[in-house]
Amino acid sequence: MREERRVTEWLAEYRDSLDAVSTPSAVEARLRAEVRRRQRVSVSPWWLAAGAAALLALGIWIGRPRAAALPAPVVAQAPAALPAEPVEIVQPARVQPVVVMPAPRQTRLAQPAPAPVAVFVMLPGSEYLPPAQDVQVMRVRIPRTRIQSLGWPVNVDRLEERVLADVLVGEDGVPRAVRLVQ
Amino acid sequence: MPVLTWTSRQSQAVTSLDDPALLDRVQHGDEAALTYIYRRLERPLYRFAFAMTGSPAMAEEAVQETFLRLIRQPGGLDPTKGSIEGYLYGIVRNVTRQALRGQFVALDEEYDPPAAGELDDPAVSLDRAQANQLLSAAILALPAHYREVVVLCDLEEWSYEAAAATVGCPLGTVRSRLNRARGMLRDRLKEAGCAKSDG
Repeated sequence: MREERRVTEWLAEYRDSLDAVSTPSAVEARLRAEVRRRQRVSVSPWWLAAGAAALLALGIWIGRPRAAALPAPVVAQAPAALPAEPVEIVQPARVQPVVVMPAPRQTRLAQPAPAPVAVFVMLPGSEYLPPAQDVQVMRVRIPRTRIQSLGWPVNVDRLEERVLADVLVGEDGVPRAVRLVQ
Repeated sequence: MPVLTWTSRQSQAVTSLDDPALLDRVQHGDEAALTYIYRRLERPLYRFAFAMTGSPAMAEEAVQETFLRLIRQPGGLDPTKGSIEGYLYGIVRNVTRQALRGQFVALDEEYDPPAAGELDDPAVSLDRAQANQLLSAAILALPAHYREVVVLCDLEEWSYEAAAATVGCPLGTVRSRLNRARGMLRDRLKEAGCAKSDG
């Protein structure tokens, strides 16, 4: 019993002596540095991914098929006769009365809004003509004075010049409407 | 002089957290949370590792490795099943056992207790430092499974239940190992002549 008590006492003394020991402060510094390093490493991939996504989006936007937004080429056809003043025919064309949709895009990126398309304006008196079943679009250069007579504002200093316009012509060769290209 | 500063604001922020919240912070790279856990537990963990290995360098390495595992795998602990303390003791126990694997013989060979004749000599009295050195050597000479219950129950003053949970054996096994280990220590010290010096 006495020996056992002595062992217990010595264990208590040894325990007290161990109270003085502790981990060197360098260990704490190393551990904290490791936490910071892991924080940096864990953040970096997200930034890299975000940067890659941004570059990819930029590349898609730059390389997007802009030609798809243009109308389909028209088929040339014999020009129809125009009444009144002669006009300079630039590009005789025939337009099929179908709507051509642009090719579907392969990206989900928002598409820029299409440029506003000028609408055809009915020529005076055309409302009395029979409805046309087969229409043609003639691209012509017409005098600004004609444009002015239709009510569009024109630069009076350049009345002598001609402007590019599309004229909608019925199967009877009578123009129904006009729109400005420029 | 402290190597790193730790502001009182950071301390207040984490001291109010429970273990699951602290672990969650560590998992998200919260340096303050890790520092709080480290400063709370590094000393007992170091004492355990030092008593198990007898080597300051190995103890330092063991503590560092223990906390590195906490940093790298904070999800290894289910807070509903155990405390951070028990979890880290389990890690440091495994680390020290791995480090000591194959080194017990060397430690035993290094142990060179004073001869009984020397102890009988009044000129060679054991002072406290010598006694501690002798006891440390005797503890290190114990088989690992006896040594760890002595360290946990006698040096760290854990309950038998807590020691059984950490060691992973039944309560009765802890009791029997502890009794056996104390007997071995007594025999070892008696062999060294300490009992005589006490008389």
